[in-house]
Amino acid sequence: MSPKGPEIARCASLGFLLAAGGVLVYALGSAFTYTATHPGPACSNPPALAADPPQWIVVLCCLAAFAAGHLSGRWQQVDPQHLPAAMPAAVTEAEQRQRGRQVLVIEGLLLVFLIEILALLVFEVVALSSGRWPITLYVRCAYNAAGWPTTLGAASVTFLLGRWLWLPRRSSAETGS
Amino acid sequence: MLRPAPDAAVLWVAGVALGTLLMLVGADFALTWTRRLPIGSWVAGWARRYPLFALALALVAGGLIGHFFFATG
Repeated sequence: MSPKGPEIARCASLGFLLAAGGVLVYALGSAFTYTATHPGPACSNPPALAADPPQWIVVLCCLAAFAAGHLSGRWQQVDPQHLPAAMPAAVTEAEQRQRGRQVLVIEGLLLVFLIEILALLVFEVVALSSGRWPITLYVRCAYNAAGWPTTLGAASVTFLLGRWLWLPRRSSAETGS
Repeated sequence: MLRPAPDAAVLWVAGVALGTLLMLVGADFALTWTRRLPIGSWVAGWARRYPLFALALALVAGGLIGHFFFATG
């Protein structure tokens, strides 16, 4: 690969990430705008299963986005000094504090993730027990009312999952070998 | 027949869920831009350190995604 190759790959990785973020902003903005300007749901009750595009296309788009997310994650370039194997045992107290903060951030993100899962489950339980729509029906309603934007939104979410959760092979720098 | 929930509740849930994703996108962008270890590497490191916990979380997350997104009936 030419010296410019990794830089181009890094820019592509950033571009894909920005695009996914843009789609999420658009989806969120659309949902808020529609809800603020319309009194009822955008679809029938219960929402129909069939819409445009067909579900198999949505599934294929999501699978492709998941693989693209993994690929874009592999295109990220890390400065060698930030690789774990390149970091010597904490030398100074300041470095120890900095690493402690980094660990705290990761554990904080994990905590937020778990709290959100819990909140989603609580919403689901409360909704079903009080005769309200579960989250599934809102997703289906969005798909029914705006098929392609919803497909793009779902693809963005799976792209991010592929980028963050599809573990790359352990590199020699990480193993320290 | 089930009825839609109040708009405010739905928007709150959608806002928090997508807002968190957006926050993570911003963090990942900043980490990639500054050539630091991206979020995926942190997740991978954590999952390798705690494989059983990671497996349990993956099962829960996968179940939730299937539950929310995969409607056939």
